[in-house]
Amino acid sequence: MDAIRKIIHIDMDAFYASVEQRDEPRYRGKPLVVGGLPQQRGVVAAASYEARKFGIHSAMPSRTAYQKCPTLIFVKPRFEVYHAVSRQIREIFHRYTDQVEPLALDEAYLDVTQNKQEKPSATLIAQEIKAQILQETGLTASAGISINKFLAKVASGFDKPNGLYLIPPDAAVAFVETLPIEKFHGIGQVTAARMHELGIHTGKDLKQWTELDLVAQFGKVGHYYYKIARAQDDRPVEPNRIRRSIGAENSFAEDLGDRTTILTELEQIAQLVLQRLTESKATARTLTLKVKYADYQQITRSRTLTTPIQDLETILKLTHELLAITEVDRRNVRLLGITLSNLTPNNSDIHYQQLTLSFKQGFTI
Amino acid sequence: MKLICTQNELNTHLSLVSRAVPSRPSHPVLANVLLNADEDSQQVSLTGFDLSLGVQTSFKGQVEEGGILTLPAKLLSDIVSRLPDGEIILDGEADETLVTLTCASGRYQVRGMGAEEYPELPTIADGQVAYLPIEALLEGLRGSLFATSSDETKQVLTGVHIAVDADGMEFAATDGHRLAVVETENLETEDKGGTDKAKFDVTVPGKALRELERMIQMNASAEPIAVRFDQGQLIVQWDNQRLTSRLLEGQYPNYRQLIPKQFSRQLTVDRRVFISALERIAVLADQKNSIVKLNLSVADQETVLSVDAQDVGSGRETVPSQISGEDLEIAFNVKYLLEGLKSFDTAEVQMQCNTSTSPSILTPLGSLKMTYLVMPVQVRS
Repeated sequence: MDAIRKIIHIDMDAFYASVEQRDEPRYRGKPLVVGGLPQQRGVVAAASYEARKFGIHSAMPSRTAYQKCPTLIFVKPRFEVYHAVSRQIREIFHRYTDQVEPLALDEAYLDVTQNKQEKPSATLIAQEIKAQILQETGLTASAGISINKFLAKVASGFDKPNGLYLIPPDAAVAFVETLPIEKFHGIGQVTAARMHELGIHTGKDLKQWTELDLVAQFGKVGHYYYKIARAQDDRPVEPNRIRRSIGAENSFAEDLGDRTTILTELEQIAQLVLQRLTESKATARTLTLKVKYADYQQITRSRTLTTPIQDLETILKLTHELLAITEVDRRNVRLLGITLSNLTPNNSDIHYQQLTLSFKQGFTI
Repeated sequence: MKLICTQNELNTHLSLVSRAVPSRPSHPVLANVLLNADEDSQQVSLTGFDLSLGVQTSFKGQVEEGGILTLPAKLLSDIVSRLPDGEIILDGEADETLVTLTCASGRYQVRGMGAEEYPELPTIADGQVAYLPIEALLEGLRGSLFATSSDETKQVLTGVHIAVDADGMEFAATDGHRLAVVETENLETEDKGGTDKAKFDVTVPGKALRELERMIQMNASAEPIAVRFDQGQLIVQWDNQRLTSRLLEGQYPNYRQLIPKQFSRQLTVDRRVFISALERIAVLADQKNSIVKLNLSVADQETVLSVDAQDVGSGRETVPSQISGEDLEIAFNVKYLLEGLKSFDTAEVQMQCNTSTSPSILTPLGSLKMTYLVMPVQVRS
């Protein structure tokens, strides 16, 4: 085993919403979401802390958010501004290390085991980074410091907003043992509910399970659960990680059988995927629909276009076409997901478009 | 049942019918091949059927005792393909579905199922028949199959549209970005329902036609092939082989109106030179978006092919061409050009274009009547 690493996870607080509140004084202190409009069946991309008090969170349908808080302010995303801020904070990270792995515009892992300023204290570096972000962008961030990515990420979420939390090496195992499993990164609501049914409520409970049993119960991700229950995570911080796909999925506490519900869920997922696509400034050529049936059998169906996928209409059209060749009419569904791949960055000035034959008689391609 | 045949023959015919056996059968018996040994004719016939595509083939064997049963297709062909050359004896008890396979090196027992549940291949009582010369049929398939859509959600576009009338046949396939049309002449038709010459048009799944192409190539017969159609089925029969396929439902697009009649630019190039240049360009183009740019220069009488794969590299080729009309810069998916050019069999090809955003047409000069229309890629800065 290598020497103990020093990993920082930085996560901007309610990023898009905070940028909007920073730039528009009238929004400050008010429940606000960035995202699609309720009447356009949009989804919430980010919610301000004031909005979160109403139970509003990202990925929630805007309609639902509006029902929870009728005075809610809806703001359209301004991705150029978020990108600019994102570049600013990344530039701050690089003052300390080039071992920076961005996870999104507002989130990154930093490996400061070796750092440019030769500072021995990761906590001190995290404090400095937070201070510089606040000074240079007027926004607050939360930082988590620990020995691996998993723990750093849990730590940054522990004391939000404007938080700073350290999980020291000798406290890591004990920390995970007392951690409620729904706080584990990578364990969503549905998995958490299943774990509760199996009597797993904390890291300590999870640790009782053998690796074999976890894999039998949860599939491949069981290996990961086994490791994190022991506070282990040897994934390196990867500065040059290339995104190959962009996706979103949702598992349902109750299996879906009704076509209309399935379509509504897919539309929400499609909205999220599109948001992430826009955020990453790319277009895609392949769309994959993932369906997990009630019996846990999982299938994927994909289509590749010669033209770029970059709007909701195309995403939905492809999704519907792919849904038609699944068995959702006959089998209940417990998970739906949409992934876009074959990504091309949008930064090129040249656009190529494969032209299509124009059939008459209502024939569409 | 007891029969003796050669490993080679059994293996060849098994591999033909296996392609019609579904990998995920809707009924267990469909995962099997139907084996029928006929004592009177001394013929062994094999059938595979996925309810859409059916393949039946028969060959001479030494049938000592006739019988009929089904055996698991994959298992059987996996065993038979590994057996040594020479004779194989297949032996089954009268009312048993356990078959013993004996060859020089050993013996295997394989459990099958009765033939009762195996569905019969469709037959066509009335309907229309066309007798097609093998060469014409192969030409039609070769020139069209590659342009079908591989996307199963596109329904009729996954098939080849075949139109037959007194003058000949026309094969057409399109995936929405390109269109291949092949006309063949000279055939006899017969309509059992009336006195008129047969005239019909159907859309046949590409998968079935690919099998047909393979089967005809393996077992070329000099006799014309009988093709029968009715509302929902196609049946092709020749020698000892039969292929049946469900037809694709739905109106095929009216593709004739898509083919321009007039062009402002025309070039003639050596097909092989053009293909080699495109293949080299494709190495880089495939790294990115598969786009090749063509620059037609009337003054220089040459076509410059170029590729610019961002962050990977770029390339450029010059192909001598006879060009008339005006200069043009036009871009294509290199794969579309190559597939069309490779389906031709002439020394020279002609390419006709109007603008960089309108359909271009490739035709082989001389020989068969084929029109290949390709939509360009629009480039905007």
